[in-house]
Amino acid sequence: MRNSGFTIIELMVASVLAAIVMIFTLQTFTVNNRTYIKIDSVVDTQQSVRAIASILERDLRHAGMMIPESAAACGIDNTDAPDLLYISDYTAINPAGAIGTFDGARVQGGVSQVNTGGTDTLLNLDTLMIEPGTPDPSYDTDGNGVNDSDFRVNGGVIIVDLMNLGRGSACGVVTDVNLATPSITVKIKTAALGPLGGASALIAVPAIEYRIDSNKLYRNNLLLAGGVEDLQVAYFLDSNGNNDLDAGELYGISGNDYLASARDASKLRSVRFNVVVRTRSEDERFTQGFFQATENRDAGTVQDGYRRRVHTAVVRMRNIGDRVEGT
Amino acid sequence: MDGMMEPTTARSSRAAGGFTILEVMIVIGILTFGLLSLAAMQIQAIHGSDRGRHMTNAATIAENKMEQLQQDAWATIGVTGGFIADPVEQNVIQLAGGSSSERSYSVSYQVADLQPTFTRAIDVQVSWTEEGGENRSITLSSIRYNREGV
Repeated sequence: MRNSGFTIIELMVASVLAAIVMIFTLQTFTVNNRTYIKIDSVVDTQQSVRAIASILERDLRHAGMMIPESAAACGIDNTDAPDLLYISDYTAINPAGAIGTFDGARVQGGVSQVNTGGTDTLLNLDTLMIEPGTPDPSYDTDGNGVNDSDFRVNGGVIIVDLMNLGRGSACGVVTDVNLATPSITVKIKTAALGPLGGASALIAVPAIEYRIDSNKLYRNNLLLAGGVEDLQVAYFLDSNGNNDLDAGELYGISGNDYLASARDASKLRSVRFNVVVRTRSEDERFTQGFFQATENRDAGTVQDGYRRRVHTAVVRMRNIGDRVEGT
Repeated sequence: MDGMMEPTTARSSRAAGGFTILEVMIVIGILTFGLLSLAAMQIQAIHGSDRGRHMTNAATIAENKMEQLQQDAWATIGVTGGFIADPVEQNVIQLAGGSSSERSYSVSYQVADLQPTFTRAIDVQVSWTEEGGENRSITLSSIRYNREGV
């Protein structure tokens, strides 16, 4: 009797119990897996938003370093697309070598305006390296092992009129660098500089371009992060010079758009940027997501399954506003 | 055949008798306890990542306030004599069917003279309440130099 094995009843009871236990185990496993995927994608989103913010903040803190203050930053403020941001390229300057500011590269040939609308414009410059004494560091644009230019293809460029700072700034990307002439070809993406009032002295300053294309954030045409839906920038321009944020001095916000050609960036005191990043893929169990409103860009109307994170940061301009020269 | 098996069966009758219901119940009890603590650990981990996120958000808000105080005019950031409250920051991610506020962060700051007319100490404090009712806060400290020379 003892060796006769299990009865069918015993077996059935055991299987039913085992099945119940299995169902619960499986359920726990499924829920765990779902939570893992959700948290993993949100953590990933947060990591990229923090990484972007940290690079962008570092670049912004350096804006205007050893170049004319009015050429520190420039941008295109869009209300139906991500903003474009140009920040003067501090990596092209070695602060140890000299004290003071460099006037950038002067545009030759009496040019007083730059072509806009995305057309390539050839600008003859007096130099490609804005530090005259010790022209380091700079970029090796022809790949021969010798650094030769502060401007480089796919890098940004900011153009201002040193004799009329009120004309604001224009900015775009460098599409070609010619060491022999010397000259650069640029595609200006902003509006033209403001109206000319008297003689002009256009200068070009190398810059870092932040651009979003198909939800990918590029820094000087190098991919920084994917899943980036929006970059919205607000500029505090201290028009009355009292260092306090008064009504109407914050541009790029709803009701007060920013236009680079109308603003002298030497009045810039701080920049607030918003980065909107979404998860890699849609969660089919989550349907409440939609495009997030920041600054002067409205929220989306279509619901989707993406989770989003918004990072807002304020960066004070360290290199603008405290100079005696007033350039 | 029976005769040959007999001694073996008799010798090991106790060992081959399987578990008693009491033993099985104790084992299940221990197993349940272990599994439950695993589940609790999971929940703890989720809460931990939540707490981390809140701390990051609070630090960002504090940094933003600090940047603003560093940039404001020297005359504007007078000595406060203790913490004064700023508007509460909402960390909002909008969801369909109305805004969903993730958490509210109260911001306060204080300014005190270090070297009168030269330097002032600034403290920014951000506090918030966790899901379970625990109050947490983060304080950022910095020194402001009178760069305007006023």
